[in-house]
Amino acid sequence: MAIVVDEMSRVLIQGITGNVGREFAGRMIEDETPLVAGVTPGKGQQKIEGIPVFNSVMEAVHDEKADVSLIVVPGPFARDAVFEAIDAGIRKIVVYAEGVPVLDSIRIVNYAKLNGALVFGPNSAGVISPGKCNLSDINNKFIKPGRLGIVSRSGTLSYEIFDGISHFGLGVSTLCCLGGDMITGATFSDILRLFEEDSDTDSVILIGEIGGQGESKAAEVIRSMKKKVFAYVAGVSAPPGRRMGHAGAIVGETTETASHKLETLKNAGADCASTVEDLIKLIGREATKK
Amino acid sequence: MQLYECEGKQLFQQYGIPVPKGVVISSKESALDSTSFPVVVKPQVLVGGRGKAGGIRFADNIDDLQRSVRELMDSSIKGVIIQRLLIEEKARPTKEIYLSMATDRNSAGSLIMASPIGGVDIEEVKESIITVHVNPFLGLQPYMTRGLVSSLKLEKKTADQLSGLIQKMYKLYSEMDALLVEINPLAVLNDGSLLALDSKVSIDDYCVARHPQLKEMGRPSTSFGERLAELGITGTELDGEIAIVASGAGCLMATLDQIVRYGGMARACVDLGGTIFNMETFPKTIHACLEAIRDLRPSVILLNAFFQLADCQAFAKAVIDSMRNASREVPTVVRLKGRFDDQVGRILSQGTMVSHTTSFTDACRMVVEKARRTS
Repeated sequence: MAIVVDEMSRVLIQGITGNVGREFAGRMIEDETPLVAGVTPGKGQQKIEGIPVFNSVMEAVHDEKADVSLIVVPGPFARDAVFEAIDAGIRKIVVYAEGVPVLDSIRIVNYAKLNGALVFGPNSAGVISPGKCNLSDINNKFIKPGRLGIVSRSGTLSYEIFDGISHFGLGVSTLCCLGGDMITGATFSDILRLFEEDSDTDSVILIGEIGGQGESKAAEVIRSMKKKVFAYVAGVSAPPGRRMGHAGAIVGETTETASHKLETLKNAGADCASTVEDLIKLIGREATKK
Repeated sequence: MQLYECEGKQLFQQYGIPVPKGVVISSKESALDSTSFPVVVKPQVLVGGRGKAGGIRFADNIDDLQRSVRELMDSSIKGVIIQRLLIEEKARPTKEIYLSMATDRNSAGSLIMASPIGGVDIEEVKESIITVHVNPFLGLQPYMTRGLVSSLKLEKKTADQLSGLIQKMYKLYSEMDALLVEINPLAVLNDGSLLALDSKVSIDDYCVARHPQLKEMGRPSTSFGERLAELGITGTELDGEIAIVASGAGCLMATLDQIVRYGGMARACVDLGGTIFNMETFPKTIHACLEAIRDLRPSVILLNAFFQLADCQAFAKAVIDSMRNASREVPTVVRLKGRFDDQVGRILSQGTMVSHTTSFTDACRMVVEKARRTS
């Protein structure tokens, strides 16, 4: 089954005729991800690698029944693209675009909530259900299908994790990247709930970082979950008050430090680690127990 | 991007928010004769707590003023050199309040905050803060302002002015793409009018390019951060020995955590971010980045990249080229994983003082070991 996307999804790329869009289209076709349409206003009637391009999301939904969108337009255009997708009925959106103004993110997140849409990002590395559907910049050849769910703010950090667990023969059911910006849509809580209901997922890995309260809020969901949750929060050693790459990776209050989050997650029942090495060892140990 | 107090006040003036009459000087020799006393002398630095650090001075006459200027200009406060001073007419408030507008990540919205206790560190009087949420689709509505103003219990004339000021502040906040606009204190004068005695404005970095007038404003105070920002790279300077350069923010923090676990300390933390996606400009970018890092004189540099799509060979070539043209030789450990990573060793062996591995933990161990040996 996997969560969010699978082999039954009908994928749309908004911004398909740009460089990034074309690259994604090419990869999706190679990976056999169900790409059905692209949208670039003014470029309707074109085809990219055999995929029809439309002028509007409404047309793509009407003609090709697209139900999930990957947005790869330049940052300042992301807000409009998201509004258009939601208004056209799309309820699952991955905003890969970065450089999205904070006020735009605020409006995106609020509009998504109003309409019950799941919007990842902005600045999200994507969502992938290995072997079924790839809406991310992760290389299909590098990630193994399996039964561990992963939810992470950072894309690059998730690479280390799925690579690390593959050494124990473990694979991924679905990997969701929430994005590195200050204000993002889909939350840890949202995705944990989905994994808990997913028959293809046995346990979950949560990869957090400093800044914000997403991980701490997720603790409440973890408390009521039956499935095992492993957690790592990056930035235990990050100096306070400095931005660590991601706009969202900056400690606002003491409750937003990695240590505090790890403590909160541990109290909620998660198996926690404070380095990547420890996390992989933890997961490996659990896997070899069975 | 944080604006200096005088720059924020310039924006306030543009939007009709009253500020004290003042001038900005940037040298000890600046002419001061047309000043009317008493005045307050304020260093223009982007660190907080100027007052507590003895940075804010008052002057009743020209001699006092000249002495303050001589003492403050070019001196440093909290590690930052004072290059500009704002000299303003001293106000005589009967009351000081706190007023700010900021984006709030917790509620994914904007907040207006006010407190009847202004002029102090707002963290210390948290319980006195009145907060109003501004829905991003409605914007500032009259009932929101009414609620806030009435809870401050001001006289009618002041309350009316405050309502107007809040609207002007919201206009500035929205039009200038601000993430924070803070007035602390907002003074209530004898005649009931308002005056913004301080200004703290932060603009969304992604929107700075939209506003031409911001071009010359808010330079970051460390040259390391500035040099990297010009390349589209974020980095921070620390005081350890190992400079960490990573291909993503999460990767950067995880590398820092691992290095600290092995007993090392970071000299710099740099996230290459999206620059790696443009292979045409990348060699130039990575060289400029590594040069800025070499100028910090770290004992060793760790480059950690795990690429899903990019060809590792191109990255390795760019790194070797940079090392060949380096202004200073610094031992470097390269961890590269991704397509064609098995070809990287061959490329990097062309250089001296460079070690290589595809393993994340091995790279961290190697670099801590190297740093220990060099010290």
